[in-house]
Amino acid sequence: MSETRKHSVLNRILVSAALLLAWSTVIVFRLIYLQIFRHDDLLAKAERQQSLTVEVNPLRGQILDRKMRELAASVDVESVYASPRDLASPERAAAQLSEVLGLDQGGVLPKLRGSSSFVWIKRKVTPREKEAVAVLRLQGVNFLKESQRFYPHRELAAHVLGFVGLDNGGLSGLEYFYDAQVRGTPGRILLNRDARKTPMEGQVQRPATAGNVLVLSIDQNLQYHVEQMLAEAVAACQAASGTAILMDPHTGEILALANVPTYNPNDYSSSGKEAWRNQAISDTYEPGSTFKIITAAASLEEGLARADEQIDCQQGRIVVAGHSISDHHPYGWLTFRQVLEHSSNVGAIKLGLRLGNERLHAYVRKFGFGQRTGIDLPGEEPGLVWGLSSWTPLSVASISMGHEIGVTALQLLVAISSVANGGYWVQPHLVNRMISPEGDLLWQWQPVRKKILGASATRVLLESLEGAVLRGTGREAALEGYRAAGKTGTAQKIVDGVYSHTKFVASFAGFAPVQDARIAAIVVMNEPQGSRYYGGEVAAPVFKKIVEPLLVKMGLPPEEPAVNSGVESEPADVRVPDVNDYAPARTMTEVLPASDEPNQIVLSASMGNVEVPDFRGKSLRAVIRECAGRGLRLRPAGSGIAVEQIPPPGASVYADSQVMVWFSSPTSGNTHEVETP
Amino acid sequence: MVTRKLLGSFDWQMLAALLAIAVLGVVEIHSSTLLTPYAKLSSKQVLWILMGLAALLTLLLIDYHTLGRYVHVFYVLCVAVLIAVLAYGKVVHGSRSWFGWGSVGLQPSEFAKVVTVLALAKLYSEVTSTHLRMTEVGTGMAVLLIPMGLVVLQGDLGTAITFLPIFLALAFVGGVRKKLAVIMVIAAVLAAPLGWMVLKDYQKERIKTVFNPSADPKGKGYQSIQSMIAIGSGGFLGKGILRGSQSQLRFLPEPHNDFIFATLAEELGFLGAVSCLGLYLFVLLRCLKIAREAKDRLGSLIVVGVTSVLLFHVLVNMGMVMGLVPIVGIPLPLMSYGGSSVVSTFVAIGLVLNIGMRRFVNY
Repeated sequence: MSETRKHSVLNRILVSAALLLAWSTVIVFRLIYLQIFRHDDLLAKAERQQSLTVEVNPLRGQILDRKMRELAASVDVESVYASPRDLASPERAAAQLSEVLGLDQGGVLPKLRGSSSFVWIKRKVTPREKEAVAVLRLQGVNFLKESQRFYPHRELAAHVLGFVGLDNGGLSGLEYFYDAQVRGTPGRILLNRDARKTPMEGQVQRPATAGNVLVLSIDQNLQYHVEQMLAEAVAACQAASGTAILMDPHTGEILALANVPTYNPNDYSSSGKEAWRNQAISDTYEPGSTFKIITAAASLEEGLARADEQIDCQQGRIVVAGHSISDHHPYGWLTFRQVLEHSSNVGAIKLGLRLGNERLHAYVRKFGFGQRTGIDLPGEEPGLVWGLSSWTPLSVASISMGHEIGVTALQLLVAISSVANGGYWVQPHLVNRMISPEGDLLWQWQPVRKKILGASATRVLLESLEGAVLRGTGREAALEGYRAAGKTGTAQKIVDGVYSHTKFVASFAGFAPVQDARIAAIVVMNEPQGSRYYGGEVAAPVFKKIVEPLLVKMGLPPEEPAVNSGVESEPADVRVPDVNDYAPARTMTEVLPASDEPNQIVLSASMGNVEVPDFRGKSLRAVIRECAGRGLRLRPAGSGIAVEQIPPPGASVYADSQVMVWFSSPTSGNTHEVETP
Repeated sequence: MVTRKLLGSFDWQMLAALLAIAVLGVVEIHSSTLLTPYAKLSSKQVLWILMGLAALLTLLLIDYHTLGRYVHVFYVLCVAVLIAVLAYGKVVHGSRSWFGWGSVGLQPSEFAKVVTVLALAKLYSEVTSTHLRMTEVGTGMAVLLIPMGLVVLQGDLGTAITFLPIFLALAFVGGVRKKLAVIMVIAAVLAAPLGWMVLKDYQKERIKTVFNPSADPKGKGYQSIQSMIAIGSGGFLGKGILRGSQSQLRFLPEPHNDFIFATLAEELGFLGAVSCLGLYLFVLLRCLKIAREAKDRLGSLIVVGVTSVLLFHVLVNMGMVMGLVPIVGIPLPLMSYGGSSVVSTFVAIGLVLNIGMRRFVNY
């Protein structure tokens, strides 16, 4: 080997050594970078992924009715999860799990193939499914307790309560609106594994704290009654849909709110989105004649009309801005009161013309139209009130009789309540109190109201609206034993830009008793079919059926009807209830105990149907026995033999439901006659 | 025969460093597999080390010139075995590169590297001119490409790549002209896009991932990211043996095998990782020293070849676990679990020690 050659070999080995050292330097710098500079960051990452925590749904707060009866409850259920890294054979596990849980194997297997340490297999399984999975004894498959919302009365107050999704987030109704308050704080379960211990089942790191309890203004029994009556009425006139709202006109407490169609919030996904819609606050419609109350109120308040003033209704025809508008019946001279009683378009338009655009618009706004009432529910519509600049010369006439304007049923109810409560706009609301899981009162609703009408205007309106029930378009709303006031409305729907002659919205808004009203109610029937479609025909009777038994139930003494204080209409048309039929001192007596305790929740099929027997004509003793036999809770009123009941005979209810029965003494002479509510 | 004089020239320090590395490996294999179904691997690894040590000691008895004389036989045998693997081998992780008897496997490609080193070193030791001629470069490439090609056919691209440095190092030290070297480098760069086309999709993804591992942290970037988290979370002093949560909880892929350096860096920290790197550096520099002091050109070239293979493994493996180099399935010599890798590494180092202890012998 020549020296030069040997030299070159040695040199090149030296070059190799230098390269080796250079690369080693790179490695060391990389180590310094990773282990010194990025140590904190990477350590945090490691800990985050190793001490894997899973959020656990807290127990959602109950929703109770005004008498602390449970409307929405939460129960613990099991959910199945897997730690794919701990599975011996994902294929086998997927096959077994999909079989016992009724899942698609093709959907389960990819989840189990990953290297993650947590995947849900199936949420909220039945006890039977849980048992079936437990029996498999698969390593790496475990259970976590989750909270499941449960509505013991199914459809009852569905649109008020709303529903929750799989992750227990409120998706609609109060569940959505008060989600933050009701949901609670999630707990954390730690799925950490120590180097020398086998994987442990979830360890509770921080327990979940339950959400707050909501106490509503809704009365469960009243709500049930309203829903029954509404459903019957909608079915009877084959309406497309219907709404009924009951409110305390003084406080704005919503006592019942019902829509047809409705849905079962326990299984909301099986009904269409249309059924979820809370029409009472989300649907706007042209109110028609019911809106004449606002025109009348404005002209009284502005001193542009007097109660006994004569208005020429021009034989039912008036021309405004080149348009001819007519009444259903041609009237000549009518008093101010009669304009409302008979719902004369011409009369209302004349009042509107006296007001003029600015003042009419101002009152429309003052009554809260075109603005949300601010009820504690999501999805409320503000309605539609055109700005003054968009008004045509015809607008003042149209709006005076309730057209060219969009309102919600709730807005109209609030408007008529102001007549019932002495001239106040009140904010409607559903939640009266919020209570902590420990039972402390956290928050109490304070009524929000503002004066919009003076005393004299209110008094005249009150009389006029009572007149409408006694003598006018609202006669079918007249109550037996109580004085009621209200206004009908029938508006043609706009179909393809023109007023339809076959599609109507019929409504009745009213309150009772007239003096110191306890209940204000609105009934809206959307697209009633057949020959009867006037508000006075299809909505007013529903008001009667809803309100009459409730006043009895409330124990209000029957009152002297205000019959025709020197007035003009034919008395033949007026129904004069026989006051003597009612037993004088009607007291609510609690015979069975514990009726106000929250209902026991039974998840099983025993929630099925119980048929309500016909109690009428039976003694209190017999009724108690029958209720006990069928698992119904009796709430009796009065004494003697049973004369009336809610729910009606033949209705299907759930076990442990409450039945209200009114008793009357057969010795008081006349037989009792009450229309079946 | 092994005389007293030969023993006097034996590099005991290097053997000690080798064993230290191997012991580190056993400790980390034990730590990272304790909770897994592979818990017995550390004792098996001890067995492989003992077998490797026996092979190394046996090899010391045979003068490397004798091995050089019969290199054709070894080479032909080696090629035959590689072909046999293609025909009868067992598929593991997508490559048909194993002979398997029950739970015991043999990966002939690991041993093929040693034979290729011997063959190329022998070839270039017989070159008489100062610089390699074109034909000699060509023949060398052929000697390399036959076993390498067979390994590619087995589908084991990672192992195949480890053949390349043998040729590059031996051609470089063996006397390739600088001009030719430059041309070859340029040719390689130009051929790279071609190579890209040959690569399978998952291999391309791995290369892309090096540049941006966080693009797909749950998928293609997962191994790289988990490895860096393991190393980084170890910090300066490490989490301690049996406390490396990244490997214990199986976030780290193959913690006892290709990613054992990450396991070590997590449990023993920066100090441990640098010490480990230092041990490898010591061994490799000792190898280069032996290459310089070797008695003859054959000795030098064999040592350079062996060193290049070891170096390549160490560099690529460490680069891979630290996110500097694409994820290729290359074990860390002496530490990663695996019989064929451990035994063939001991055999290769045996060759180096063989040459080192005969540096003062006259023929």
